[in-house]
Amino acid sequence: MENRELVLLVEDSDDDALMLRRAFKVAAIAIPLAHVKSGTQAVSYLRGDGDYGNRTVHPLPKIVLLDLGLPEMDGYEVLTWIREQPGLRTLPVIVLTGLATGDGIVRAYQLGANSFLMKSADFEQLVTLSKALAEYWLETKATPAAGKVEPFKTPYPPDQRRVA
Amino acid sequence: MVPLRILLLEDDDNDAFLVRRALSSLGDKVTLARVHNGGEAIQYLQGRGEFADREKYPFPTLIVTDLKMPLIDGLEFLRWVKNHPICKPLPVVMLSASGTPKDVQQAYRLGVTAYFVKPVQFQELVRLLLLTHEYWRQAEQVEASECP
Repeated sequence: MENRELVLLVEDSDDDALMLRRAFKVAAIAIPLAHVKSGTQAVSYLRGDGDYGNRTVHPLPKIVLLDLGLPEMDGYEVLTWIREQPGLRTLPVIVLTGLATGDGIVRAYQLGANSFLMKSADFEQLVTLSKALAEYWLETKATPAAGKVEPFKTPYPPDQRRVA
Repeated sequence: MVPLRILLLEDDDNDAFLVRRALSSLGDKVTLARVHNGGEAIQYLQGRGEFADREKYPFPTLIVTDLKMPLIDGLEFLRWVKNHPICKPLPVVMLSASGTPKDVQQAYRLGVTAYFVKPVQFQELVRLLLLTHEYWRQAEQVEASECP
């Protein structure tokens, strides 16, 4: 199964999500943007829990844009989970965050982020960034393997959530 | 603007020439160092031998590699980088003539950052490399200076 063209945005701020949606529109990016507001929701989406199991309505994304500061399960934990799923190995995960330290950047790359972008408060810059990011990642060659995520034997275990 | 520093792994002289030409319109916004295979690239990153001169051989912010090369190929090189405690965060972009699922999958399994099939048309190569530059100049990078 080839992935449908879709960007999954994991972002707890409605304002930031709206800004990005507007930037995509101004940059004339045709690919639809699906928005989830927490790390656990992102995992549910990718795992196909409940309603998300309908892949016609909720297709697996071509790329994930991941904020780091998320409630409950943060971006690093989402990233760790994604990279543990054999079916999601080819899924590009781009960290898109407003606040970052050098350590945070290293950590995200160490955990397997494909790249790290800083959200700009300047709308024009956000448009430029959106355009480059959509064009670049949609051009990458991935395998259809990402079409299936192995179901979990157990739900996401809270006691193993922290990563070193 | 800080120039993007690309280390290119390419055994074919013609292909290396085309990449250099494709990037030429960017002038000093990009620097390109070229090595012929994974073994040379490892020496480059380690700063061994002639590569110790970082003025002449700057530490890269982006690696662009071919897949099929003699001695140490693109996949073996990728394995080395992604298992290196300091150099793991370096983005490694595969630019290969092969787009077979086996090659693509193996590259991802080893941690490739992005995989592109090398365009046959020169204008397409220019477009892809300019896009690569445009994207990575905006991305946050990890500043390393050596992979000991």
